[in-house]
Amino acid sequence: MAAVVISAMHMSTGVDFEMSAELAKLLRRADDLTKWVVGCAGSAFKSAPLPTIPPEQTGVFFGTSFGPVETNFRFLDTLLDDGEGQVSPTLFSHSVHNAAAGYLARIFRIHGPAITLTAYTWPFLTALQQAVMAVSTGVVRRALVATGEMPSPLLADAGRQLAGSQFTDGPFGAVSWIIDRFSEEREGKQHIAIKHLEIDETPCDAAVLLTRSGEVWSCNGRTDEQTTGVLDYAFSLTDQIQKNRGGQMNEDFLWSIKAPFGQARLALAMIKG
Amino acid sequence: MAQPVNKKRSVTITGMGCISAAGRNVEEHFYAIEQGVRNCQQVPAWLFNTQQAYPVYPASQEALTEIGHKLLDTVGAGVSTHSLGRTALLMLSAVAEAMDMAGLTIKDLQKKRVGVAMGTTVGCAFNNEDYYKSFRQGDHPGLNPVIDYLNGNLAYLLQNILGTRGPSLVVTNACASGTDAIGIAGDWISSDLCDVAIAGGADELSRIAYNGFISLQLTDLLPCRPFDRDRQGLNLGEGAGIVFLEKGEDVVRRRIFPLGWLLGYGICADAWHPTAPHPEGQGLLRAVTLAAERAGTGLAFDLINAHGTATRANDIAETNALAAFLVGHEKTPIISTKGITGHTLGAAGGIETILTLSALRRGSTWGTAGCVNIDPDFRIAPQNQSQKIELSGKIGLSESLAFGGGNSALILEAC
Amino acid sequence: METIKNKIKEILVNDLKIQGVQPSDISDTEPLFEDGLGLDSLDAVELVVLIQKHFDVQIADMEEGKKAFASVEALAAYIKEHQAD
Repeated sequence: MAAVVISAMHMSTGVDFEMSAELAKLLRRADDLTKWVVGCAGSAFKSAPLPTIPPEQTGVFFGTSFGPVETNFRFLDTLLDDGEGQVSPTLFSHSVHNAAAGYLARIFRIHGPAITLTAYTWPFLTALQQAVMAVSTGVVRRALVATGEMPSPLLADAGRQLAGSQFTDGPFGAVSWIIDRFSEEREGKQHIAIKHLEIDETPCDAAVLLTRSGEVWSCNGRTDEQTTGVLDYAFSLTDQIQKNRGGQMNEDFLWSIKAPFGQARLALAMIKG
Repeated sequence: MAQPVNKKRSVTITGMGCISAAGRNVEEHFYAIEQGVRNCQQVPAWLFNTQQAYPVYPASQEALTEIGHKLLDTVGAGVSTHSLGRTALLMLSAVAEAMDMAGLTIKDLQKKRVGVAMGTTVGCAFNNEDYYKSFRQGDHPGLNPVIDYLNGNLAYLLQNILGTRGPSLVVTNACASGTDAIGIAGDWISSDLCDVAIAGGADELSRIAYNGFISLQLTDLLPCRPFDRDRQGLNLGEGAGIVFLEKGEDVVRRRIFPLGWLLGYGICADAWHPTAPHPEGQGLLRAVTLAAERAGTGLAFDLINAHGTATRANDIAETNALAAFLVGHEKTPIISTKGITGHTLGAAGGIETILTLSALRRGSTWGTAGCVNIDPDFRIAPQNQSQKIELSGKIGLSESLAFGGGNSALILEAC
Repeated sequence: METIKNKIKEILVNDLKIQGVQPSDISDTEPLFEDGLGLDSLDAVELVVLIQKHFDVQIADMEEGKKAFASVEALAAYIKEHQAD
């Protein structure tokens, strides 16, 4: 099995990119979630090396907990307010969880697998696991691994009722990684290889899947830190790797996370081209 | 009984279970296909209230079958059927049948690494209208619907009910979800990520998706007519279709009869449009080609179970792709089973995998229920409903298309 | 007739979110679909709902819709013809 390296990563909380007229046209019907995910993926692709990989050799793996939850409610609004026969087909088609992945495939010309995975635990890690499998077994040479969440007043209200002031609503936005099959032509440069990723989910009180109370991550055995927002695990993981990137990542990198709903570990190592 | 174990046949299907408007187990489904039973009706009041006249294919009101009840009884306390949504109950009914067929008990499973890959569409959305209505008026309704929603992740739920551990995910690739879940689970087995994989899809009829499809003008006021020149759209259905996958050598060791093998899986994005398939079915053509390459079967299929939803756009795109794919094999029998089950969304790929494998095992099946006059515009002709088809071999293909431009295909061999 | 046309142009920009144009930029005779304003099959079914909502006019099927959606002018004429007095 081929080694898999992380070629680029980007995270954003909302729209932090200049939308070209062409992109605005392509995204005219898209909801915020899709816009954030597309913008974030665009920034990641921009900084990824190896510009030309055939579209068939690229896949997209999108993981999300709640997906376009508010778009579904906007659709429901048209049903409740305007009645049957008056609902918006555009909102309906954008209320499915794989709407964002469809846009990613269209906008970035991805013709390989496009898979959306839904989990309340760590959907970004689940998507990463599937993407690593697809790259290491040769199904694709490159994968875009992404996650994204949008704010939902309904879920925030439920979270506050369940966890009181402990509940953290957000931050929301998107995280994108580009992972590649490691190839010899990348001479001389250091690359971050994914050595091992393991996710073990365990049963817990369903409320915790929303409140995430008791979720704690640690990096190379140092300082445990609390995360409570729905995307915090993906943000903090990406942040830790980026911090370690500036030449200091000589040692192996081990990131792990624990919560009442399970645990996960990601091991990375530097390899030389 | 010794079966040849080679790499190609490493992913063995040892159990299958399904439930839909066509029946409450695999056998009833096959009977419905043989007899051309089409349980297509106006939306029953017990499902939801609607003024719309578009018919649907509802599964039985009691979504949990006898064997499903037995499974929950074995698990004992802690699982209350009240807190389980209809989608979850449909899934459990199919899981129980498949588990029984595979000759596995919960105790057996708890000793193994069990992967769960489930496809759904409705099952992942918060669809409690009463809660939402009251919330948007500024009230704080009781939180039970939110808790049920959080409890409703099908893969997490099933692992917790069975008390098993292993890779676990829910695929939400719209109408191709069930097919993708089985394809992913097959990859887990061949990569030795688990010993047993439980895979397929489940979905219930919901007022929300029902109105959504109507607004897209994709539904027919009559029972659907896949591949017919007069087809006007799909009818929604509901159900679940689940298979158990195991490694070839484990099946030999357990001395059980395999039902068949999963030989190949292909998935490719259209990168085209949010709701319409690529008119030439380009993504589908790539997906079936990829699946065939991985399976190493060439193009000699004995049966193709198409997506065949009966929308104008799907059926033309799909036959275009198949015409380009089956060069030199234009006589391959092509059918759609949507006229028997309705379009069960995330469950469709699971149910159709089972119907394909069942037909291949029996060596015969029937043409497309609801199709009288094949659309003359098609470049390749599927089988219409008057035809009984004798199959010449054991290898078949089941395919799915989805919103967002998803295309997926599984290649199956019957034992 | 002018009021209907202007309302349609507003719907195209505000509801269907056609990018880079103002309602006043849209000509009465420009094709709405493909090479014209670039609308597609999903916009077509959305437009059916929007016309019903704003004008209380039902476009019974897509064959009729195709003719009505030829241009702003054609659509305005269709609405005028089918609007209750």
